[in-house]
Amino acid sequence: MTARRALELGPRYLLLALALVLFLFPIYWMAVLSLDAPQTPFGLPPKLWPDWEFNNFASAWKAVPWGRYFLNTVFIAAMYTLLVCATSVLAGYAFASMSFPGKALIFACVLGMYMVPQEVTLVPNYVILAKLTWLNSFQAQIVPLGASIFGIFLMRQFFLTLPKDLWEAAQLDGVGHLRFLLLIGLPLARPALVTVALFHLVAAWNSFLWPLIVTSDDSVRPIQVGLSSFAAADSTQPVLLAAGAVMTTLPILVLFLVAQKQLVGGIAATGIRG
Amino acid sequence: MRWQEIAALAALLVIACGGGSSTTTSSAEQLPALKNPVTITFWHAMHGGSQKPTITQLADQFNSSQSLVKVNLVDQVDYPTLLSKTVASIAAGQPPTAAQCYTGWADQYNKKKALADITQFINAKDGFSQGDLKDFFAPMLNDGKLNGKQYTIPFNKSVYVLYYNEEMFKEAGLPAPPKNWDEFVTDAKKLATYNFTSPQTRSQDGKHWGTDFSQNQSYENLWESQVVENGGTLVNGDKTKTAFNSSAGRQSIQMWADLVKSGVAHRVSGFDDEADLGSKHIGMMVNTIAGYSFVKKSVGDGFMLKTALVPAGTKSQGVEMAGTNVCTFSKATPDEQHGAFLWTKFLTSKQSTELWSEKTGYMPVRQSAAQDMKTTFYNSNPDGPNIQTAVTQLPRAFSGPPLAVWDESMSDILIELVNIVDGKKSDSQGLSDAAKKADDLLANG
Repeated sequence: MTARRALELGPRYLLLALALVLFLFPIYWMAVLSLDAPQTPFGLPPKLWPDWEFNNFASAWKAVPWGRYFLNTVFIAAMYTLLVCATSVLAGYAFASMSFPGKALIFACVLGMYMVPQEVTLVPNYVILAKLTWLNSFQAQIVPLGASIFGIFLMRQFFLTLPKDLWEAAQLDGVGHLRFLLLIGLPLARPALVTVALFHLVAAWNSFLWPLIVTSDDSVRPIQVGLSSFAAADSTQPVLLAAGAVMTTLPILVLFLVAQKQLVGGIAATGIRG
Repeated sequence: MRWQEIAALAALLVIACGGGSSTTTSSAEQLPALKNPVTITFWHAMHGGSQKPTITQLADQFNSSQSLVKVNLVDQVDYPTLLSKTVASIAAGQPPTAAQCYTGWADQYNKKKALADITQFINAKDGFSQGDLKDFFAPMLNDGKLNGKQYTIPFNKSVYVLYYNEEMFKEAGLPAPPKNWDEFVTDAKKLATYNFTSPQTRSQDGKHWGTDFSQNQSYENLWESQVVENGGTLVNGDKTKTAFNSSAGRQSIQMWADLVKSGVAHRVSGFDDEADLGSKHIGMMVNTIAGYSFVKKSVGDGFMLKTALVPAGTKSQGVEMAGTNVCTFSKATPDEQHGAFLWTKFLTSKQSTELWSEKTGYMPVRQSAAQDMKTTFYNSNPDGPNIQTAVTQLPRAFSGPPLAVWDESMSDILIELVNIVDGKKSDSQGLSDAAKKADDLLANG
């Protein structure tokens, strides 16, 4: 590497290294605290080296029904992701490849919904679920969130990149929209679909406010609500809270690291940049 | 007519209208005892420490002691969740039969006409007797009134107390806990600078402070108490505008800002103050007696935990009362409301409130229970004297402004108090900003 190249790249890498530290430090802090001695104070400056107290995890595990929370979350996240994928593919395809009156206006309305914060729709959605007697159920945590604006947008962008010739050729063979989508569009859309699935799987895993409001007992509560319930029950032991936080974060962190390539590849395939 | 005369006439009128003695002959107006079996739902946030097992024990006792009312408890984990869900359920037209609520929340629910008028049940054949009503601690019962009418019944009430590590005090040469805030500051400085050596006083990593200031609603409530202790008021006479941006308000928060700035107070968040006391990182803190079971768990066998009266201000000694009451919702059928009242009556009976207090640290809501606990608990149980401190302080307890928007205001005020303590704003700037936000809420509700 020439000196000029090093001078050019040096500041960039330095900036990236700083950003890396900034993003990784909270996770590192949480991990260190989860392995600290039981009476370690939580505060600044943070302790940077753990005491290797693995018993914290055993104590945290015994405190609340984590197993139940994990199972609930896996079920909710899987069903939610499947539903979001289905609605995103159907709606994304319709907006990209079909002609119907008011398409632009409807798409603008759909995108406009993206700007409405969840807090605004919380009470109206709760009222609907109460009328349906769906409160404190799994479907309450899956169905109302089953259409994702981001998913629809991403799939639409992908379907827009498909050559028109494919559809025309399929039409000559007597294929309708649904068959074209299932046999040709969907297999080609795999990278984008995986991205949509991963994004929503992570979102479902981290989902807190909505499940908090609609659930009332442990039989249907997901892991983040369980963590909050654990925090309320054991507020005086920061190390146990950190151990609980590590347990809830680790599965999704591993999934993210494993699937990171697919995630980036999927977004690149839709033609969306940065 | 003087107000005393008006009050006396009003009281006579209430009694004349069947003012609620089950021992008096039943008037035509008096509701008969509940006859039809009902199932009721009670939403609560008694989730941590010994709270959940105790309230479950009480519900089991209630359900097995009679066959008319079956109570189903629903644990909503914490107060913010309980409030959010109750507000949402009221909007959905499906509130629970009864729930825990602060007076401010009750005011908010009442404005939506969601609260049941429990006067008829208080006065019913199976309601409260005059003796029952007199037995409740008056400040607690009054806290459950809205516009002079009893809408809620006190259940888990607490006041602030000073928690301290007696061994740290002794080793640092402090013979007694501080009696006023000046002494609190002096003692905190001494505790922060003293080099502790014994296992009961030295923290694991050797670090320590005198006390804590936590970004936690409790510290906002404590500041409210200090404002009153220092001669100020929180809102004006007709409760339309805030009045805390005064010298009393500024003096009360500046004390904490100085302690944090000088390194005497550890600036923490949430309930880390309880963890700090347990791990001997601080020598004392002021918090509610409701946290006693949590603090006790944090301390373990580490040292002798003691409680004392909250330090006095320049003008008086007083503490703001915390904790909730039980409210019943109007959406329930009259029989369900009646059933909810009977559950509330059981929950606040002498035996129940005694058990609740002994297990959780909350104050008993009845004077007879407190009297009984003098012989059965306060003098015989190791935790008794500590828990009794709260009851000792009760005559000086007062309630925060019973306003629907005060809860929201408190969150805004806390943000500004933290800004002052962290040195981001001056005391006058921070309180002026807090007052502006709270005044907006008071004006626009």
